[in-house]
Amino acid sequence: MRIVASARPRLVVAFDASSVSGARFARALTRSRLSTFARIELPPGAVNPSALGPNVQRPDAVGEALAALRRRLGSGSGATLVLPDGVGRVLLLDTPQGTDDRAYLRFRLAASLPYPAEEATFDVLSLGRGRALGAAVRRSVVEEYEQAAVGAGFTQERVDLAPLIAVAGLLRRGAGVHVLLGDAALSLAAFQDARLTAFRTRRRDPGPGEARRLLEEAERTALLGGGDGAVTFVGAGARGLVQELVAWGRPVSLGPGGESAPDGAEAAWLAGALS
Amino acid sequence: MSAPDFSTRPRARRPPAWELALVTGGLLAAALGARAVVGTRAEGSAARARLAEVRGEIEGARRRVSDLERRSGDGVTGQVWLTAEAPPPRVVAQVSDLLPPDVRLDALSLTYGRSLEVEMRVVARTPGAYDRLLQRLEASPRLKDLVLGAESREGRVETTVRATFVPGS
Repeated sequence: MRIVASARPRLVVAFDASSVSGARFARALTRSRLSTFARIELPPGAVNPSALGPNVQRPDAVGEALAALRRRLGSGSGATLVLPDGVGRVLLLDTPQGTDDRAYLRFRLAASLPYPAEEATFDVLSLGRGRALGAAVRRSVVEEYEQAAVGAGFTQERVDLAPLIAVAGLLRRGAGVHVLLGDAALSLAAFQDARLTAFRTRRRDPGPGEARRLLEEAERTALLGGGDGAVTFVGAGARGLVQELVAWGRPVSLGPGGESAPDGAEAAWLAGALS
Repeated sequence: MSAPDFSTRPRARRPPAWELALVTGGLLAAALGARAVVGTRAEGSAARARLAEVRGEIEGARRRVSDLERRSGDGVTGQVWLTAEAPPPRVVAQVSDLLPPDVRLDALSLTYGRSLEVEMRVVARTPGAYDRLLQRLEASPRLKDLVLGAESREGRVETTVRATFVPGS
């Protein structure tokens, strides 16, 4: 298997609607090792992940939570900011040979964005063998999160998206359908061996029947991507959803991250940052 | 291969460890190089100073040699040397050793200059004794350039012999 992702941050600060979370990593020879993981709850409505914005609805509350997170993690390293699922438009694409991946992504996504393409920032996660997972995020949305992090004393190193960094971590695991849960949105990634074959995003619809609906979405994604049907859940609320589905006799499991930290399975990005 | 980056602000890039190591190594090499340059310059200055000193010593030695040669030409140096190597008591003793038993030395005059000139006033009891004296004087390594004075051969021989004395044991 060829590993093409290289996201090996030392410090991660991740945003979502219900919390800010983060991790500090120690460098090991082949992969990162988790030193500290922390999660700080946000008051309801403080952050509203969306593609159009505004996202940071209560900067004071978000700033306090980030300050608390910073006290837990320290700020000695440049931080990778991870924006929540739902803020970007994500697309799995096969990139023609000899083209610039970002330019091609911009060409493919520009017409479908709900704002002018000039207002977006584009980048791709290269998956190898001519395939990439690309995303567009509105600059004004990114700036909101950047200002919040820098205002709390973090030094920004780069900005990534939760579904992209999660997929980077899944490249090692390969097969199956992975449900990557954010507070406001979710992504479904189907793999055949180590090759990402389908990627879909959906807004979350929490409440009665969500587990069953998500399982049906996962099965549709498996059909679309030609996967073997094994389903894992990781991210916000993953543990409860898995318990519910297992109780119904469905063969689902918790995704990576839970073995690294008690709340690790609630952070879809964690396994990716550790890869 | 690089991780995605959606930043809208300039990235605060943290240089990788190998870059830091490279920069540190470069700085260290530069510091060592600078130190070596300073050390070499100091050594160069010291060597130049020493060279100038040696040149001065050589020049001084040359001056002294020239002075000595000049003084030697004046006879002063030779006189000093002869005085040390052939003091009068030693010359008298060595000349006396050359005399046969029936020859006496009435007077001895020593002139110290570029060479030591000896003038001996001798009296031989017989002409035969005088001939033996001349043989001894001629055979002696201590004397050269013998000049014989006028002889009076009325039974005994009285004469003056001049020679250059060659110092030696």
